[in-house]
Amino acid sequence: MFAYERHQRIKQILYEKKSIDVLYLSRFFGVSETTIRRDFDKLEQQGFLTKTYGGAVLNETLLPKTFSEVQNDKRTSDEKMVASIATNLIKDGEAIFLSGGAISEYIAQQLGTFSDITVLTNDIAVAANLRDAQVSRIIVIGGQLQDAGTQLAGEISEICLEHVFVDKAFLNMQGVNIKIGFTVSSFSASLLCKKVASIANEVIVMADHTKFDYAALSKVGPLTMAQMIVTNQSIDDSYKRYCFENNIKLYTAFELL
Amino acid sequence: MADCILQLKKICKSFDKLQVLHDVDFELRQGEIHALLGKNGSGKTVLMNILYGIQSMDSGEILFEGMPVKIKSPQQAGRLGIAMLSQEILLYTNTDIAHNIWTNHEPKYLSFIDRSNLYARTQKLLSELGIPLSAHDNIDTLGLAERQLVQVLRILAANPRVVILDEPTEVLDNRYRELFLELLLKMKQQGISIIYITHKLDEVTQICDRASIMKNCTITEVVSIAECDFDGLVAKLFGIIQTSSYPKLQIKLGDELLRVSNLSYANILHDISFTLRRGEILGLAGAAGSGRSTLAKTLYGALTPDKGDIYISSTDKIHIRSPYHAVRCGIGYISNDFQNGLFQTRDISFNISLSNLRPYQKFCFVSPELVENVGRNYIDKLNIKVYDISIPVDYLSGGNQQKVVVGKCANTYSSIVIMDEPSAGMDLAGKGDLYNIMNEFVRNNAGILFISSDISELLGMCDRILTLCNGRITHQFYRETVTANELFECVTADT
Repeated sequence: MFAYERHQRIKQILYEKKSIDVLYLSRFFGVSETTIRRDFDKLEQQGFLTKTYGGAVLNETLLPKTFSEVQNDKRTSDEKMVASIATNLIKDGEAIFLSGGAISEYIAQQLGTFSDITVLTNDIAVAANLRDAQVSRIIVIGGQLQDAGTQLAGEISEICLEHVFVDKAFLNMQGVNIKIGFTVSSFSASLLCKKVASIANEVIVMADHTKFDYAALSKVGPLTMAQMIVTNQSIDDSYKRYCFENNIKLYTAFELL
Repeated sequence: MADCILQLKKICKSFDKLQVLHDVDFELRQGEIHALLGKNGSGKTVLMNILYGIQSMDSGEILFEGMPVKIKSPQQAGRLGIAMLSQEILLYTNTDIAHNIWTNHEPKYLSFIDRSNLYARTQKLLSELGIPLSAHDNIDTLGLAERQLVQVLRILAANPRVVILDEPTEVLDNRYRELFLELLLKMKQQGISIIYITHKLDEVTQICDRASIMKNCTITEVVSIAECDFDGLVAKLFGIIQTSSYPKLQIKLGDELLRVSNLSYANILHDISFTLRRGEILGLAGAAGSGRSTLAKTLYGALTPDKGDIYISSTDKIHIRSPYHAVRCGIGYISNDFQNGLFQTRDISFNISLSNLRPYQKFCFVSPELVENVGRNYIDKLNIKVYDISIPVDYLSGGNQQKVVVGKCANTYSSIVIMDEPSAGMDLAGKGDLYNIMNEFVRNNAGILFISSDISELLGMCDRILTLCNGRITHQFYRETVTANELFECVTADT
């Protein structure tokens, strides 16, 4: 067994057991205790473990990080699922609006398969994705870049939106709540959402399940302003019932097959 | 309330956690034909079973001629003069009509059966009612419709005061149907009160005096037929059709997946032909008894068709020998009957893995770890609410059990999914989940044959809808052009 291979195994075992002794490992791998100590030195340099008398313990600060990595992966896959359902709602020949956000970026990446589609957006990252996907017509709404992000908003955006009309508006929301309605994190973003909703035939709200039951700073409108909501299946049953009773089409992405 | 022969007051009934009847009030007048209407699963049959003593009620009161009575068995009901015609045919085969009609009421001479009297009486009854049968005919030689008439006669022979008819005309063709409806009117003239359960609203307007409408486990309205026409009845029964809450995903249709041509089965299905494409949800609308479930079972290999061909993926003609074979051909079946669809005493993993055990084999054994993994996987994916993976599915709610059935079907990676009333008995949240699961199937290039008696559900989710009437496909509608009323008329009207 190579040293590198052995290091990986030691990491694995430490992850599970949190602490380990030299004697056990030397028997387990069939190598001398000195070799194991040398391995420990190396791993300690990497900041992975701390040597103790006769053994080593896992550097606990590593754990939360890996946990959050897992969460992030899950989050990304949830958002991708939402995006793929939302993409299915788009038909050839339509003009759509994509508001800024991770889900919109995923949608933008998949739009290359449409032969004739017009996409408006207020997010320069989404616009870049649209260009890479070679979407037939891309229109970026002007405006002022919002603090350190990629989204454009403000008075200029609203003036631009005065002159267009779209079939479907896909809006990312930061909070979805039965009592409070849809919310986003900044005032200028909420004004933009309201404006877009007024120039769209259908409003489609996209929010992964972590946004439900949560309210952000600035209110956009009640849940009934949307004709459709796209999310994940793990949202609370009360939302499923509410949407059905209030004639909102609720798409929940099932990752079935 | 002198003319009230029967009153039911505040009847409640639940099966486990599922409430099927809630404070039902019902009254039947002397000598009326009273229709009991409602969608499938609204509790009509359970209410009648309680009245006839087949099932017990949790709470409530039954008054017969104003006197409180307890009906604990069909025998007791019979003594009160209550008779019920069940949906199935229950007759003694191998013997003639006369013996069947007069069972337990045979004309006696001393303590022996007076045979000549028996046949004479039967013949008299038959000719009085204009039924073209002979008292000596053997039951085996009779068709389904004729057997049904014999059943009615048997009920009449007991001199009942109240007759319960549960969808009696489903098996009758047009000729016998007219005869049967006349028979009911004659019974009414004799002062017999009739409770008439049916899906056929034209019959209701033709012969009934009043109609009670059951919705959400209770009787919501009693209407007088004289004051209400066919359309009014439709509106009352189904409410306003609202389809904008159904999460329909329009998927680009792919190749032909399934083609059925000229399929016939016994006297139930006649010349059924249709096609199903990838990405398509094909609705099948029809009243109970129109042959919908039989069609599903024929496609799934549980019944063998008499004639007709089934093609899968446009090329191979396939004779589906058994449900096992159907699964191998890529056909999945989801019904609302999870009592029979699942092993109630076993856990979720066992049930889901059972449809497709091959991936969980280690050597020649099934690996319990792999099976449990797949169970966990589907609990997560389908959002099944369960605290302990090892509990039997019996303990799950109906909606969650239905999800296990869905998981079982998904686990076979079927490309053709047949759904038979999958949403019956589910709450709104469960239904929403189900529709999104359907989307998931079609997004993955499967095709769905969606059988339902809920018109709004069909209009909301299907790309195309076929109507099935008396075992024949009568109409085809496309999502873009169909209106609710058109569909109603085709489903509720006969012919």
